[in-house]
Amino acid sequence: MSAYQNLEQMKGDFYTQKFEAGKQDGTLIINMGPQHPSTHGVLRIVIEVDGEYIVRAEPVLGYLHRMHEKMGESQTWGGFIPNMGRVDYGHPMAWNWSYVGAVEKLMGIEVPERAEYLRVIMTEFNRLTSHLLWWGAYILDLGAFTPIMYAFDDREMILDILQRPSASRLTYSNFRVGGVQMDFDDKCIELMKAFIPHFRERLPMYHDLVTENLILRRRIEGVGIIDADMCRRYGCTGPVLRGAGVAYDVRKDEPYSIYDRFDFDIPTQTSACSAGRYHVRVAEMEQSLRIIEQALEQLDGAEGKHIVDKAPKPSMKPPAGETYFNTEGGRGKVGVYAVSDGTKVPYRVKLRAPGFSNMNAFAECSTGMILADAVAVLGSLDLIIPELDR
Amino acid sequence: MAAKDSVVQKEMLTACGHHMDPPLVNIELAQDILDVCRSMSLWPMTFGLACCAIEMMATGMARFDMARFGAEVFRPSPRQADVMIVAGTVTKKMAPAVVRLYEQMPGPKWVIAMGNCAISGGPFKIKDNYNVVEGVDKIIPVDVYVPGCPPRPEGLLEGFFQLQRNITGKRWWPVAAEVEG
Amino acid sequence: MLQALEGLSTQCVAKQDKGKTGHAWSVFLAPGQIVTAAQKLYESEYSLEDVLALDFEEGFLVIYHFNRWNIDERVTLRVLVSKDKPTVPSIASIFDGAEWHERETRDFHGVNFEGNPNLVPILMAAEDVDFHPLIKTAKVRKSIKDLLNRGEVISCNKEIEELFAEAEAEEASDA
Repeated sequence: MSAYQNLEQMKGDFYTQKFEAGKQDGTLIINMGPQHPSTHGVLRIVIEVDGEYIVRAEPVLGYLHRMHEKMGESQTWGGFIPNMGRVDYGHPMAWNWSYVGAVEKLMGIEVPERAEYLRVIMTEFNRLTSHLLWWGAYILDLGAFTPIMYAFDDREMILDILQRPSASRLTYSNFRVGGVQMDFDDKCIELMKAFIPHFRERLPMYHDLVTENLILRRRIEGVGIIDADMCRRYGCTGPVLRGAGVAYDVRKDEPYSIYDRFDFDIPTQTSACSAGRYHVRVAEMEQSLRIIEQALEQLDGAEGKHIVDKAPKPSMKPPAGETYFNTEGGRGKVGVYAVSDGTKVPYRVKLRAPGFSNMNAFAECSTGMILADAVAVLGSLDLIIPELDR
Repeated sequence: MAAKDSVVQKEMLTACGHHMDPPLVNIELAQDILDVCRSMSLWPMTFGLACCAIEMMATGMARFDMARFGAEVFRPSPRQADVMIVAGTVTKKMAPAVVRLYEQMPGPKWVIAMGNCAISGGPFKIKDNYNVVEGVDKIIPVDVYVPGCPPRPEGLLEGFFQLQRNITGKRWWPVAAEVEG
Repeated sequence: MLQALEGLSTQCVAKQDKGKTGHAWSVFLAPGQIVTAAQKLYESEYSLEDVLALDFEEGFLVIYHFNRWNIDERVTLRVLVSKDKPTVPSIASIFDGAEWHERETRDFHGVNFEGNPNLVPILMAAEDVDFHPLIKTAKVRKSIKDLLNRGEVISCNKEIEELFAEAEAEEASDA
């Protein structure tokens, strides 16, 4: 008895049936996902197409809802840190930082200077791996198979570097309340210093071969306009907002840690289209290199150890209260809102994911474009689905 | 040599069992040669669900290079794939899609459960679990389990070698040497 | 006084310690006042960060976080609704992004947002529409005054004062 002999099942599921209610004549309702060759993960978008043109689109989330906020109410404060490694596997250190920053605020712990430098260097390297992954996967979506090979080659070099202080390749959970898990050893610093000139040599090659490519430019310029007013209504942040001309970066506008000691720019573009967001991220890679360079120079003069003395145990009990802590992740403003009731298990941990708000803008900006452009827009939003679904 | 049908029949959600009829002209030598050919050109289906997908991509890239072992061509469509690498967490909402994709793959087909989430629910197997399927082997038959969170690309390659051993009966590639110190 | 909320009827306005709690202003509102407050914040260049709910003994406390791009002055709007009738008007007509945040809050806590154009499950499976995972058991549920700090009050009405009254009486007796 085949599963498909049941015609009721062919009518689609709850979301398709709900979407069909507004169907116009002569259009087709199709599913994009949840299994899809673009490597964004399990995202499903129900689209009504008139030929090749999108009339309506509605994203359906929840295919990777892994109960992070529920786990926040059943794990101990320290035991929740590995969850932060899995929420956004592109830039997990930003999530690590947001969470331990919130707990440190609740407990009134001040992180030693050396730990701050270690955090900055590792997070900026992680931002580089996130942007390289995005870049390679985006160009792969648009049809080019070679750039992702080069991007992953550089990414593997960074993963070798980041493996040393964190013992992880992808889902880093090496931040602790009061500092970081391990200090850098000499070999690690040597690899970091060797990487910077190597990557500076590669970036112009990527620019000449890919960014200036006519086919890429025709596919992403003018596609998917998300302007500043749309960003405000949906709460978009990160490269989506900076591609629309607003120079908002949490590192400069809500400064945390020691970012005020470094000299770096906030790249913006005014075109508000996919090309604008693309150029913002590529420019950000160079800015991250600048921050890493300056931090490595200043690292020797930093006082303290990699973690505060008498660091709290995983079963710590922060005093009762609430707090909100933001950091700038590769996708936008990462926020953790934590409420403590004085016990060793949090009362509530709310994770504010930048991708959730960025994806929200897709439905409005995709009406009227062709299906191929939808792929270009989704790639330019740089989505990591576990962050949307938490 | 390995048994022809190396998967134990279980009660599954799938309507059809994981079972292939033997061919009309069944010569063992020909079947063995075909098994070797199949195992040396396994075409994976891109079924990256979560974090393990990135390590699966890294395994296909220049440094670890699955193409050396035959698994280069990632097919997005299940109709053209041999092996489904379930890389990531399967949730209640996604489970019917996993089963449907498995059913759409033509036989002979295999499944590699990559990562702790696909093996047992992984870090999300908590007391108040309400949404995560605790292991993809609850809904489809699995041939090889690759543990790790996420497993290193070398781990996934080892998983491939085990699958090739399941299919042909012997391991074709050298075992990695112990590192001194 | 926060300029954006001048002239708005509220239940309680208080300044908070930004270094400790991350937000500068916390405003308690009745459910009927939230839409006008959101409108005024939209006109003052605020953007919506998120919407969430907390499960307390007194009811569900729905929290909205707003912040501006050029000046960091986070405003937290708080709306307390009872458990048996948890209904809040939706602000999705002003901030389109609120539609998804409100759907998530409905999924996790069961708060009903009147006027939300699409109040169906967003993260939970469709068959779990009546299951709200983040509702606490009575054993671990606490009271608002145990956890939240009222802050430096600018203006407050009787209801909210009573909410925090016991906590302050205890503190006064400890001191």
